[in-house]
Amino acid sequence: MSVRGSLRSYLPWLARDWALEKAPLPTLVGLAFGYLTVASVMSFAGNDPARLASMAPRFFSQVMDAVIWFAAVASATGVAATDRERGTVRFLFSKPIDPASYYLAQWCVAGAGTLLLAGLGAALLRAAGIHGSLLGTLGAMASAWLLLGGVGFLVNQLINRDGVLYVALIVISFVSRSEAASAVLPRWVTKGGVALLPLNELDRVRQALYQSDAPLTHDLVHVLAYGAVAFVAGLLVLQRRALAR
Amino acid sequence: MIALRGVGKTYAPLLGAPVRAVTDVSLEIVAGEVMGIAGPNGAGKSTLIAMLLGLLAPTDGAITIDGSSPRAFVEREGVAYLPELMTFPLGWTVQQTLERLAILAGIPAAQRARAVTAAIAELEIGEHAAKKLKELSKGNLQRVGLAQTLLSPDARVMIFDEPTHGLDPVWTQRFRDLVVRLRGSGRAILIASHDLDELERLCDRVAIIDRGRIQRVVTFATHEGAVVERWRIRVVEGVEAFRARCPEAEPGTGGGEWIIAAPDARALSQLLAGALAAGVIISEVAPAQSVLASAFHASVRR
Repeated sequence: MSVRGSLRSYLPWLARDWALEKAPLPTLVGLAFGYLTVASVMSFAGNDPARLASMAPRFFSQVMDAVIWFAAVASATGVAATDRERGTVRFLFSKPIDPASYYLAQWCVAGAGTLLLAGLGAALLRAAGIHGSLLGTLGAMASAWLLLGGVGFLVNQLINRDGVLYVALIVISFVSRSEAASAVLPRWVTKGGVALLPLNELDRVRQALYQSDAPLTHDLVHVLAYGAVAFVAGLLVLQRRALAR
Repeated sequence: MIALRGVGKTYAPLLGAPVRAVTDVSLEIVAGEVMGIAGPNGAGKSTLIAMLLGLLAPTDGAITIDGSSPRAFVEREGVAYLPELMTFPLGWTVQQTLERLAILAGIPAAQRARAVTAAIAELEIGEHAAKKLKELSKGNLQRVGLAQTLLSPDARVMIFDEPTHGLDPVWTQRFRDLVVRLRGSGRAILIASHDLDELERLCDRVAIIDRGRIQRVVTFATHEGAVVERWRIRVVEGVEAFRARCPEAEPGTGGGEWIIAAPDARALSQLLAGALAAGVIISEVAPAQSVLASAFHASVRR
């Protein structure tokens, strides 16, 4: 006898979970930051369309950066780790489903959700007169999700309280690869930082995409490859380690 | 159907000494059998169940279910499983919880709504269907847990971990009726419980686990391996003669009640025959503890 749980039928439930648990924070941050940005841009630019056009790209990228970062980090943390810690894995994986497929589906739903949020954010800014590329924003969100979501997936599989390690990794990556760090830290430390998340590369990719420019190929490849390797490593950990810990 | 051969599990934390949770467990559970697991807290029952579900890998020995590894079996067929704790997000409603699990249990879309309705009706939780799990009492939460096991009615392996925990006497009896209905049909049922009376009523055999090891397996069909050491006797007449025959008898709690020790039914009969021959009138003879309770207390030494 063989039965299979239908993950396709379960997708709407995963989407609902994402919308209720992960979307509120980036939505609130985006709305608040977007409102403040639009208000200040309007007060500076007044009724001068040329001034508004010159200021728009910078403000557009500031707001969208906030939305993208919050959406990616909120969606990437506490997924499998929470199921393990809460004990929900015992219910889920006593059913005839493959855990790797389940978490892959959940990751894809989260990625689609972050794209939707970024798209809505860009559309709202455009409606308020702050123009930026909608397609470029979706590309920026996708590349950010592939990197940050991929690393988040790996960290999720490694430890139960994944949020602290995940945020620490991001902060250390930022600091060790900053110009200030290279001036202060020993050379071997900044060299070692190359193995950390390619956040500078991600930043350049995003900025290029906001302006509808093509990002540098090596930046894009670095970001996508890093995320992909982390995600595959996460899948391997999931298959090798115990589901309940 | 389920075979455990020399199974052991050692937890090796990053910091601190390794912890041996299960040691050298060998057991077979055949199709159609109801097997119980009894043991004190921390005996290794939950670890054993997690290994049976393929959620934990044994560090020694091997487990097979129907010839496959537990994980392969679960992913192929699923297991009707009631954990000790209801660990769903408490913001889910009863209806949503069962709908989700019906999907994951592999119930075809056309039959899903009917299966959920039937499970809700069977456990009589219809009035709670729209409530969030956090609004339910412990007993009702346990009924939701039982309802979700019914979403796998054809499951060949059913595992209940403390199934009547929090249930009132009416629902405890309903659970027992449910097990009676589900038993047989080529299905292996495993029940882990602290309630020895329940295990004795429902199971064909009970494995008593302590400190990670199987200490004894009590078989109820033949009482093979069962140990009853103490018996309750009610003496109506001839107390003096009874005391002369059984000087080690201890007074029981009721009037005319005495507790005597006899290692088995033959020794007990010989003792009673001597007392009866001396003119003692006895109105009642019963085990001072149930068969399982006696075996449990003899096996689990603290």
